[in-house]
Amino acid sequence: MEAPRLEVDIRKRLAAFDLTVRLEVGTEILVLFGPSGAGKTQTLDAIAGLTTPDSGEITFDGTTFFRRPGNKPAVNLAARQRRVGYVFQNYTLFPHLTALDNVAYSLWRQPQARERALALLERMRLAQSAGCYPHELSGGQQQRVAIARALAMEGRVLLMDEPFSALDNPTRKVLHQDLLALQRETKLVVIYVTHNLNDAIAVGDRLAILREGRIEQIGALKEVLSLPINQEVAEVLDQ
Amino acid sequence: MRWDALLLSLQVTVVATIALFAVGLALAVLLARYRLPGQVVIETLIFLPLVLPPSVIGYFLLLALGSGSPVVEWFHVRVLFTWPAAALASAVVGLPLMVQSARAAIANVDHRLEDAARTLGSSELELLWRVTLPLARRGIIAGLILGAARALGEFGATLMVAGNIPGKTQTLPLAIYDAVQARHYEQANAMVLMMTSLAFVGLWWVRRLERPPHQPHDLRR
Repeated sequence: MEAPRLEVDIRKRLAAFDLTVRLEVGTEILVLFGPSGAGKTQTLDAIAGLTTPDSGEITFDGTTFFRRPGNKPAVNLAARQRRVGYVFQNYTLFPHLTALDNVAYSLWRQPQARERALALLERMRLAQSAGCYPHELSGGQQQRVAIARALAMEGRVLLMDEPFSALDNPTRKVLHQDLLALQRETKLVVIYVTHNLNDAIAVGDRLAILREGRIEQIGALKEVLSLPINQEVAEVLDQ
Repeated sequence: MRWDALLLSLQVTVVATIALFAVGLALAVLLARYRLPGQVVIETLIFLPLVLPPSVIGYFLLLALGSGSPVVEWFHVRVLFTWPAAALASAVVGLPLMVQSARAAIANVDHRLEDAARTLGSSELELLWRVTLPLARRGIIAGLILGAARALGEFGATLMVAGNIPGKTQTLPLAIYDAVQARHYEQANAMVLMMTSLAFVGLWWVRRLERPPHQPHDLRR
């Protein structure tokens, strides 16, 4: 079986600039790095189906998520049909549901939803907090619940938008290790958005530099860090 | 105390509140989540009963329910001078309060939570049911209580479309008016106390709902 690939080639007119993103991700962690307002969240939203690009194509493992225009019919698969896990900035857990019910949210029509959700919480070392509401959990615990919730659908793409930016350094390090172990074990296709270079270095297999809606450089982490292809990339990395 | 008037008032209020819940919630969802053609006109129409004199509302309802109106001619529904007409008048004056409160609560739900539900496989209807409405429930309940309290106190429009027939369409506010006219002050005192107590409990409940038990957001610990 061939390893799944996520292929993104989209254009979208935004207020400040045009978003023009072209990237391919395999079973690895691609870090999408850039300053605030560079279009990182917009890119993730387009892949997840939360915003519609003006044109382009998004495909994953033989399934077309989006296509317009082209000689083939236009496609815009609804977010709920894409099965793309999304871990948002600032946790975004459902405040009226317990940790367990948050994780079980996407499983409610399936048998043994609670058992499966509990197994995911156990994997995130959170089984004891299953009955807690989000406001009773620490930031790190909340983000682990959010990751378990995104994994519950058993999709193979995981999008993470500044997932650990609100956390302290020791918690961050632990969560980085968790993420790396998870990715190796489950062979997920991960896009990890951050504007923090330490985060990028900690988890990235490859690095894409986004600046004012354009991918300036994309390549292996070490290569991009040691050999920026132009002044703009060097400046973004310096900041 | 005129117990028949109190019971009728409660009956009218319960029916009006059920109508308020169904119609008001549907309108609140539509107005909060979609840009409808002629949205400003629709909103203005819903809020008109807040500022119109009760006699004008009553007059419109007479036109809508009286002979010659489509309700009578096409559907053969005759409700004028019956208690259902009082319930309708009460629902119309309570509707703006319900829609205003519920719409604000629905619009205030964090859009990223709704986005999260979409990525987790929810259709728009499902996320409304499982995320938006549960998170907006305090505002919805507050609007419902305010609407019900307003419905309970409805006087002018009710008088015009349901009349003031003791034992049949005479609600508590109308009975109070009659008691004062007839100088039965003892009877009036008891009914005024009852109305005031019911309104007080309703508003106290709304105040409590407006004070959340905990702050679910901004928890960067």
